Amino acid sequence: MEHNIKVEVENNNILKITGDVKNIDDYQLIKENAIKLRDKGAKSLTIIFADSSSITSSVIGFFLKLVQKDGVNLDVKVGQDSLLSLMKTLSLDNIFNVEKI
Amino acid sequence: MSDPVSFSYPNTKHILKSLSILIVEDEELTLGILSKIISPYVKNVFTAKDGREALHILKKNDIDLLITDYWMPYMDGLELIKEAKAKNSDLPAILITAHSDGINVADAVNFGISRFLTKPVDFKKLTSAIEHSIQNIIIKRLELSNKQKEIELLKYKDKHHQSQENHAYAKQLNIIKNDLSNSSPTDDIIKAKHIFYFHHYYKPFEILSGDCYSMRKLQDNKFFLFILDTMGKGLSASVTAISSTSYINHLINTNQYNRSNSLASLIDKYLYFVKDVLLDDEMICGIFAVFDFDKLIFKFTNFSMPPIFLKKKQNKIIKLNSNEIPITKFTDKFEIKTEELKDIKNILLCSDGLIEAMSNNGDIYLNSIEQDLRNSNYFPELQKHIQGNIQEIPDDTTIFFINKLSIKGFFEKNFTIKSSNSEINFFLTTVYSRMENLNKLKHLAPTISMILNEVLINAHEHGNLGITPETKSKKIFNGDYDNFVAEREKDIDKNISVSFIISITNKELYLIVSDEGKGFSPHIMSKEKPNIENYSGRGLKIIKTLSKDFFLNSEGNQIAVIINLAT
Repeated sequence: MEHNIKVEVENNNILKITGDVKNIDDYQLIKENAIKLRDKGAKSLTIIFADSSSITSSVIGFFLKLVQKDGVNLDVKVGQDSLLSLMKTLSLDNIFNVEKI
Repeated sequence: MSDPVSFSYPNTKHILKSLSILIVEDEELTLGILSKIISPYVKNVFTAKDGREALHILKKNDIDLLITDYWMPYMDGLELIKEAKAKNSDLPAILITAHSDGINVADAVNFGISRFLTKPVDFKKLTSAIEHSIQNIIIKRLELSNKQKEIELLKYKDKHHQSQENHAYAKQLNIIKNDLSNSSPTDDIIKAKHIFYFHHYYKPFEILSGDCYSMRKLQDNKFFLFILDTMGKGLSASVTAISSTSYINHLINTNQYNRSNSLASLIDKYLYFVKDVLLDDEMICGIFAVFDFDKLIFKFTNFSMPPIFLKKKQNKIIKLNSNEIPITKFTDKFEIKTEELKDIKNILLCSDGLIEAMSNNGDIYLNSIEQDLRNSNYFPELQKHIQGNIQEIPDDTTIFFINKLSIKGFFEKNFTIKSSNSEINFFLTTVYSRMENLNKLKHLAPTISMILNEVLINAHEHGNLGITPETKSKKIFNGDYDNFVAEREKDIDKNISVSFIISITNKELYLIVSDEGKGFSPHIMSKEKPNIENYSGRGLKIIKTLSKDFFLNSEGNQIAVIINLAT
């Protein structure tokens, strides 16, 4: 698998993602790390996209499932205006509590 | 033991059970007796030995009735009632007096005392006084209960109407036929010299709107569009619009156009139908147009609708004004006009909702539309200009936008990859690293890569694997989507073709991706509205957000995405 991103886990409830989220491998990496934290009992996750200008629809679908089925609260922090704008365009800013870093 | 307290009305007992009463009396024995007799019939009895204590209780509790002796230490009963009423003017109060108290009755009435009782207290008079004093409470409770019932009834009616409206709107969308939006009649976008493709925007003012439309595919590379704006009163106009749309689509479905090959004949048949439907004072505005992309002409009749706007070379705008008055019960002739499509770049047809909207400059939008069209090569660009000019596209608006595009450039590269997640990933990574090594594309590598990812995933999952958006959403919810895709991949041996064409002149990249699936229906795409409950369907929205425009081929298994290289 070839990843364009690096995922760091902090305090068992923070995922810090650096690099651009571009393909299925990136999605898988984010998913695996988020599921590990969920399975450890995290009820609230902070996902930081430090510099990604967008995210893929697969990641969005997975996040929606995390919130709505698994009951995990997400706080998504984004570094890039373009990602903030995409989240607003897709009306996901409220459900993911999206904020600019 | 007989009940010492009896009331004239059966409801009184019921209401009393919800009330709190304050009894103020400095004689402990009288206070105790009054409290003991009244307690079983009310929710709470509060007692106070003087006015100061009483005011404290009134401040801390919701008291519904005050019963007070007149002669007490610190303040008399009248002063207590005066202070209590200053805080709650609706509080009913009963004053208990001795004959020797010498109260001024006029003053007492002015203080709003409901009833007087004289000592020693007669229990029949006490119950009568209580019953009289709480009459206002009984009336208010009754009003509240009736209001609540009315609200419940309104809520029920509203729910019923909402359900009716939802069904009516679903029916309206079912009657409207859209074979063309977001798509081109071209089979193979790469091979075509010139591509015409369609977009539409439809926002009805109300359910069963007077605005209706359809976009239909005919035979021999011909396409029929119509917009109707029925003028008249509310539902009557809606019935005309819906029945007209149903009838015209029935004519198309039963090959009536293809048999006669004549727009005039089609309109004749429609007029024959609708003249029987119209009331004497009703009329219909409408545009009927047939586009022939082989002969590069279009024929139309415009019954009092806004002009058709054509953008030609050098961004020259031509307005084709209405050539007929509105259709009425008495319309018996009309003229068909013909225009060439040769030098056309864009065509805009719309209903009057758009051109009559007020611009930010205080003028109607009709006076700004030509400039906005001149500045827009693609429909999303035009929408942005419109929104910049009039804040929001108004309700009861229908817009058709036809774009002519030549996909050619100095650079063209074609690839074929196996339809699998691992191949797609490898391809994406390779393309990304190549773009990163090209100075002119480096800054666009993330955007292009993200669009390419969404397009390839759509081609793979929805195209080649034939996974419906509903199945995808359900599987993501259950957490087994990735395994489901992996299993499906094993059973197929299909490819995805990818072409990159760069136009230096237009500073655009045309990304064309084809799959070997059955293809998307434009009708489904035009209805597609992902919401929070759906776990799929955002890919196209991401493509739309990041690109200049996109459209599908006639089969729906090839997508062309136009990407801006100027930034």
